[in-house]
Amino acid sequence: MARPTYINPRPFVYLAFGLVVWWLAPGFVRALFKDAFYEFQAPLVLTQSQLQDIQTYWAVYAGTPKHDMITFNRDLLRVNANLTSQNNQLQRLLRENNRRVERLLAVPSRPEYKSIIARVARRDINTWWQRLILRRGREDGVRIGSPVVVGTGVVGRVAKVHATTCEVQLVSDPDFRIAASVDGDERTAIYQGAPNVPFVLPQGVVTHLPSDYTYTPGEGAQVSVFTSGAGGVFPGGLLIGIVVGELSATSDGMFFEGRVRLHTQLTSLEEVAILIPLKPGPTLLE
Amino acid sequence: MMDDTNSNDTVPWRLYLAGGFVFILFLILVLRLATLQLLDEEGYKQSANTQSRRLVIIPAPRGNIYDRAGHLLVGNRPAHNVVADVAALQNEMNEELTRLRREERAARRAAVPGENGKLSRARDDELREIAPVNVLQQYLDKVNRVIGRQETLDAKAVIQHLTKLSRTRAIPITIVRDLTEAELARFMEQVPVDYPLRIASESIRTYPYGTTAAHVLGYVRSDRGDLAAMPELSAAAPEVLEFFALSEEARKQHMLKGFAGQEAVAGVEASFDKDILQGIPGHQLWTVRPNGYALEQLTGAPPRQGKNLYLSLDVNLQRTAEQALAQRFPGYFASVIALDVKTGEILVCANAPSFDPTRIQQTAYYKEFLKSGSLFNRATRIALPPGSSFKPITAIAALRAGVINPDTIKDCGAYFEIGRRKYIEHDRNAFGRVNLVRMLQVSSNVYCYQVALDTGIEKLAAEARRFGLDQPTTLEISQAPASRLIIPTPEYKRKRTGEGWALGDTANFSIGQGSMQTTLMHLTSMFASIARNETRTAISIIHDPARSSGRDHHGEPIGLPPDQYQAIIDGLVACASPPNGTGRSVAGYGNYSGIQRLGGLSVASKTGTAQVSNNTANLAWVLAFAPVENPQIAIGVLIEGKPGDTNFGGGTNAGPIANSVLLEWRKRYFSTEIKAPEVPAAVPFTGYQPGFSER
Repeated sequence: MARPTYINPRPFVYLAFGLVVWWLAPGFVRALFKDAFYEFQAPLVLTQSQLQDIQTYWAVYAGTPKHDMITFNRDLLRVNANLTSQNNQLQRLLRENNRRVERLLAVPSRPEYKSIIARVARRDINTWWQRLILRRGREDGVRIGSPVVVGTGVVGRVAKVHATTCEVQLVSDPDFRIAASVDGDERTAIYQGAPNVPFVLPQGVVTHLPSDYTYTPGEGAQVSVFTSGAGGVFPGGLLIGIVVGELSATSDGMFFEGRVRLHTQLTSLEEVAILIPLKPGPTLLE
Repeated sequence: MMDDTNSNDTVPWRLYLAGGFVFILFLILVLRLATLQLLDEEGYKQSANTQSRRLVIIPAPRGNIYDRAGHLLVGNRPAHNVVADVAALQNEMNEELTRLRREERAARRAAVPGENGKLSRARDDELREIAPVNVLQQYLDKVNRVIGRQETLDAKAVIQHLTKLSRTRAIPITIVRDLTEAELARFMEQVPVDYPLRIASESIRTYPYGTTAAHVLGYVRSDRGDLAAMPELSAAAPEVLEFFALSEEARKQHMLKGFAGQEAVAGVEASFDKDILQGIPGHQLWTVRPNGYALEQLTGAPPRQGKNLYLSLDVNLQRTAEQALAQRFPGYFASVIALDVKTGEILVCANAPSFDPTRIQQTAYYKEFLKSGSLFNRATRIALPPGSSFKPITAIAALRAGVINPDTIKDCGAYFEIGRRKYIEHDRNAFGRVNLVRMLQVSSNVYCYQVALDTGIEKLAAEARRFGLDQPTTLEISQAPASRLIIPTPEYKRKRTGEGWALGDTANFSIGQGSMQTTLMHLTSMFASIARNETRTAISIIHDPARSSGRDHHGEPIGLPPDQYQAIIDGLVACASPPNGTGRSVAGYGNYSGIQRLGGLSVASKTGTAQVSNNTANLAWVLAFAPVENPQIAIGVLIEGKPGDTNFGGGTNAGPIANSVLLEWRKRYFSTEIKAPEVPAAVPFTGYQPGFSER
């Protein structure tokens, strides 16, 4: 008769003990541990992301004949040269026009930014929709609070900066709040992320829209929500999303508010731009 | 052994005594417990609940007020305030207090070696007050950096707010008031969501048309969080309603307002406050810690804005009237009323000088207006002698009494003698032979004296009462009380002066002088009634589109034969016609600056000039309606002369104001395609015939 085998309880005891110690530890100790652990873990995240890039590169490379690559390359170089020249010309024109209009309207100077392109290393699984990890960090000059954009849309802002990576609080995070403006009205409204519903695209809310807002979009058109630029952190005119349904008055009649469907680029992010303010202003976000 | 037995025998009775005593005590305890648990349970439960709870009332934004065309006259704007969540700052405040104590002790020990550094009780209490001020100031400094202000904390207010046992401990404290749009944007974008500071928006009245119609709209002032001004919440949860059943004292301890509300003081704001403009306040029921700081919100409901109100005013006409008054009579008391003849709705109710409703909370500004008397809606509240504008009533009374007919001619000299006293004509030149139409055209006093004596005071007074000149109207906002509206009679004079009625009193009354007094609103209403051939006009400041086809004014027909009524109208038209009509300036005739012809709009009018202040000042009245064929608008203007202004006259001074309002009305409402005249078909309108025919 075989003797019954008992599971060794010691690891469980250690685990329980460890959990109790962790639970009892003061907040700052836990934060210190988390940060230290993160810095150790970061190279792994980076390596994993880079390996993924190499894998994609070789998969494409192996599946394409060599002479095609040469032809593509030549064509792309031509297009690139052409576009760069056009871009420079347009940018110069735009800058001149902007300056002229701002002088005429006596607009106070807006913050200027230097942009850094950053690849998305991964989405933070702890807060699935709300955080991204980017392959840029303190060493690249990233600061807490810096806006993160893709194309002409808002992605979020830098919430934590590590040596070579940074974490981005996404625009859908309920703790993300910025000054916005809505189609047809120049005045300040407020955009804030909304609590997440599983299996539903991320949403936010626009609030504090003045109660005499009267804009009605044309047939089939939608009301867009943009950054207003008045908040001092984000530049103006970046798309946040589209108002879902109708804007409705709050029960006290003081404001209009509505739900905002965030722009679709947010669901498939590979590369984003971090905007580093050239003259950083005061902020309580740090 | 015996001893032992004996001793055993003696113990029990003491034991029983002690046991019985304990039992009784225990019984008392049980009974008391039963009373508390079973009988008084409800009361104690409620008391325990309210002890640890605070009911915070959130005043609701008031309803908007629009004019008849939907122009916003009074709206709301949000005032964004930065508030600090004091409950979340408790730890920081305690740490600051510990730091302050430590530093102070160290400083004392350093100053006096050997001293233990112990703080006196008084000093410790001071530090308890300083600590929260320091913490809040640090937060305020941060906000200042973000929004670019230089605010400093009102330390007194903070200490008051956070005083132990103060109910305000349960609510956040305001540290920055009324952020601009740009400041709000910066705050929202740069201050984290989970920070102990947040934005609380309250609603403040705005007046897109500034001082326009201020006397009608009225004003609100801050109720400073006063509980007395707190309406009951009828539809709230039972645990919320419990608070309203508390004693006055307990209410003060456990209920408070989230921020000061707005208390309606005058005008439309006050008259339509309850159930309409006020809205339904929101509430938050909080549990509080034993030290009074908020712990957790149990239940709540957001406030609901008051209902919107559509006034009968036409803001364009109103502004025209106010601008005309301000330009022509700066610094004078002057009023204009315009009514929709068919519906009795007020189109214009203007008073000069007007006040700025946003500044009226400033004590000095308020007192200045209160003292001068210009805070009142004088058009509806100040009763004064109507002068000759009363003469149509004298004419109607005489016609109804059969004393005259339209063709009756009176010989009118420069004065009329009653007893030994001369009652003079207003014009140095006598008018000669005068009939009814000419009397109204030139406003002959002597004609009125004569017919009044024939008619008698009783019938004259009865006619004035029939037109409601001594009764409050149906107007929904404040107006002169009945006691100020006087139609003098022999009984009235006897009561007031102890003297008997003289024939001279009847003569004075016939021209709207003596002790007769009424308001501009009453006289305009009288003119609108005459225009409709009725005795009353139901006045309203509320626009009701259902009334557009007319309404029942609860009066009666004037009751004159058509030719007699037509003669009155003809006289009033003649009054507004050149060359001699005293009210010709209303129609744009005469040598008066700034007046214009009304281009096809026919007008009837009556002027009045009354003496007040022992004949040292004149009141200039003018009444008018138009178009004569189909009356739609009735206007009354009153300019109150200052002492010395004895040259003031209705046609000269009030007429041009009526002309300005009629020009604007014509531009907006008058169509040349007018329906058939409403005068009876048997007597078609013949227009004014200059002069008169002898018969």
